[in-house]
Amino acid sequence: MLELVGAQPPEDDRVAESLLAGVPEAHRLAAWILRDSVCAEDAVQEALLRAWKVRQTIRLELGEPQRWFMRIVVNVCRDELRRRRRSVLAAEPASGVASSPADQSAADYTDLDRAIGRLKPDEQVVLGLRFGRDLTIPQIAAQTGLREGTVKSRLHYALEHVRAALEAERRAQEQKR
Amino acid sequence: MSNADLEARLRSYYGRYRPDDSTTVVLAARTHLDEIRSRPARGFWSARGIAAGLVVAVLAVVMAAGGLLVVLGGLPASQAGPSGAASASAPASAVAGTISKSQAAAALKDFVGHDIGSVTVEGPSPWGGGSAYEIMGTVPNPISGRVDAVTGKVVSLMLSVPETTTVNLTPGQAEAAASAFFKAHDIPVEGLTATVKLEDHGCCKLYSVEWVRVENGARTPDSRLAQVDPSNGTVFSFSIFSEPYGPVASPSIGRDQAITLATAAGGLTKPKLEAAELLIVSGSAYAGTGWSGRLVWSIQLSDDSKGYVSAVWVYVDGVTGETMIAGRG
Repeated sequence: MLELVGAQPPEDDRVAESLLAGVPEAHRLAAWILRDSVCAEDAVQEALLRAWKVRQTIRLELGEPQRWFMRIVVNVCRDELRRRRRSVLAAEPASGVASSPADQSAADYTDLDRAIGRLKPDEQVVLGLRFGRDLTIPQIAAQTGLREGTVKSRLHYALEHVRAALEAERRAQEQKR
Repeated sequence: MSNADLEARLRSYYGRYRPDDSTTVVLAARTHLDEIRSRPARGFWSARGIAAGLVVAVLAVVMAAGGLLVVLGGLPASQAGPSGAASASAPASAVAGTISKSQAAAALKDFVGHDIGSVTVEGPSPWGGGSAYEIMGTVPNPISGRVDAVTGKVVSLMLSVPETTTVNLTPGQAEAAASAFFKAHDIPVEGLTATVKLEDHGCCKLYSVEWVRVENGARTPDSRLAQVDPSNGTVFSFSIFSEPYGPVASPSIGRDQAITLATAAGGLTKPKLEAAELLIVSGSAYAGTGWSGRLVWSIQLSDDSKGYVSAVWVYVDGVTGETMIAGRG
């Protein structure tokens, strides 16, 4: 049996066109998963590079190149979240939640930032797709290649972990007072 | 905190990260992809042995003759003559029998009917049974196209993908729009079989209308593809791909037998059949593999038994039953 190596120019053109068509959606996905616009742009470029390297695995007339590209984007984001999470866990929790009403909105985001940053990367991915991109469970399953049951359980645990982190932070603030 | 409250806070929180505009990312991606594509593909050329030597020799002749490999700068109407005439400062034709880069650029400009801004021309590189120049412009948005290096005809064009999710056209209307476009540009589709797909890419929806020549039940490497804006019927992308191929025989390996062979070769734990199609393998895409021009069953299998979906595409020779992994995903 022969393993084919390297897609050739005509196929390449169609792959390139398909990848470029998917860039805006890839950018949105990455922004919601990573919660950082600069990192999202870097993630899209990295995903393009990875996609191009393995382009021979696509048969455009049979496969779904956009879905395939989005999975690469999600994987790139997951890698970035893993790297980021190590530094988050190594750092001390940020001090204090703003107490004045005017600062309350920013405080909401600060504690959510910390809570989400401590989640496992896979949980951060499903949260971003669910509440950022506003995808349904079946859509997240299709986007990530996970089973729907796996998506549901990850989403459930992610919400529980966020809730627990917020509650712990609230109690810590009460004790400080 | 209730689930509803938590989810509301999360939606509000994530709402801050909605990107305003992806234009710069798209432009950067196009540049990035162009850079990646321009890198030497050692595997590609090494697989072609003598062909690589010939290409190097041709490039050496072009450079020695003072021909520029890339034409940069605008292409004002005053410099580009009608119907693809070369400009005064245009380099000579790269190879006898081919048009020049500036003629190729002018042909694309004539096709779209307006100035295309700063122009880059590369090639010619293999396309279908021949070769084509690749031309990139900047006006009104990034634009790229291919022009046949011998005939000077535009064989592919890619404008910016319209960011719309509005679908006002039926599949039949999309096919009619694509058909009218090809007719207006003297690109025949008679005798080819059309398929229309509405593709949803999240940011945008589009119709892909493809005509393929089907012979003896097999898809051949002779196709025309148009992509249509589903909101207004504008064709924003097309390509013509046509290669010579031999007589198409009937397969001696049946569909079911091909699926069995592909399943054995694919190596998936719990394979599920996604698609099976009889086709003629593209000569240029699979040159050097020994599979060019073969009649094969293309079998797509998937497996989700490990939580993630794995996929494999297997070619099964329609006569001998020999298998090849055409791709994995």
